[in-house]
Amino acid sequence: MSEPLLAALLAAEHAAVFGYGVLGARLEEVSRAAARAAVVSHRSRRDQLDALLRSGGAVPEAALPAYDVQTRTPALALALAARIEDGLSVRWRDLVAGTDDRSLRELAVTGLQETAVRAAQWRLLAGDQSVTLPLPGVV
Amino acid sequence: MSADLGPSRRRVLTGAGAAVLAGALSACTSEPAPPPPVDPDDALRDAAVERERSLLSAYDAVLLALPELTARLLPLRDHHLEHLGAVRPPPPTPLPSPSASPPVASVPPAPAVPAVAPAPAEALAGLAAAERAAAAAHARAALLAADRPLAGLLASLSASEASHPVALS
Repeated sequence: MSEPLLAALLAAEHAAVFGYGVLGARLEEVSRAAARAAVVSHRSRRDQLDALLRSGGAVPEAALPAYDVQTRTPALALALAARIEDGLSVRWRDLVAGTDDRSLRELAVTGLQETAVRAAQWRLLAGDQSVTLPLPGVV
Repeated sequence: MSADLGPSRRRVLTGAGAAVLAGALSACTSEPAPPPPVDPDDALRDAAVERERSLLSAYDAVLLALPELTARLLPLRDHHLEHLGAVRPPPPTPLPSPSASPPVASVPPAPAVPAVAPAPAEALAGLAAAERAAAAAHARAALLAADRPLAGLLASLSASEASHPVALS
């Protein structure tokens, strides 16, 4: 049953959309453009997950009014962006390993690739020593 | 059991009764017993192992020709070692641990060094292309895996390799 997995992903995408809105304001111009692109992508995934849940007869949760995000400095904002993507990687991997449905798996594999790539881009912008993870989504 | 023999011999041969039936057939016709049924997931694992080995070789070749890239490439090469161990634990032959024997030291230097070292940018672009190809192949395999944890693992390898070009750019 993939509904709880899709619901968990939707909740994480709601948080991502909110988080990027807050952290984007803290970033330098180059990074801000990347945050704008990321939020477009997350909105699109959010809407896709919402539609998938509705088509399965579920009533998707709406976004919370606010999320607890700490972005006082550009460095904290970059770290939060990477953390948002790493957290979503876990949800996408859970969906890959939680369904036999081919199209859901395809969506999840693509979602996992996208979050892993974005997390690496944020770590690169932050100047982190280690940019990529050996096993994204595996905790 | 006898009802199973009716519609499709092939189906029975791939099922649980394959060994018994094969024994009966070889007794009658002297045909060699067919090999045991292959688990399709095993083939996916084998192919993933092959891709990881091939990436490791690609990294080793660049490290050998352009040792100045070692600090940048070694962490990525280590990821592939970890991938290999995750797909097929434990490995049939012990792999050298990255800290104990760096790849540069473990490969005979003279014969493998190309006459003209490639430009670093060219070498990095080649590795990035190899990573993207492996990422795509792992992703396709993740869709085919019957075992769900294997699907999750292949997807994770795919995502890791999709992200490597960020560190190679």
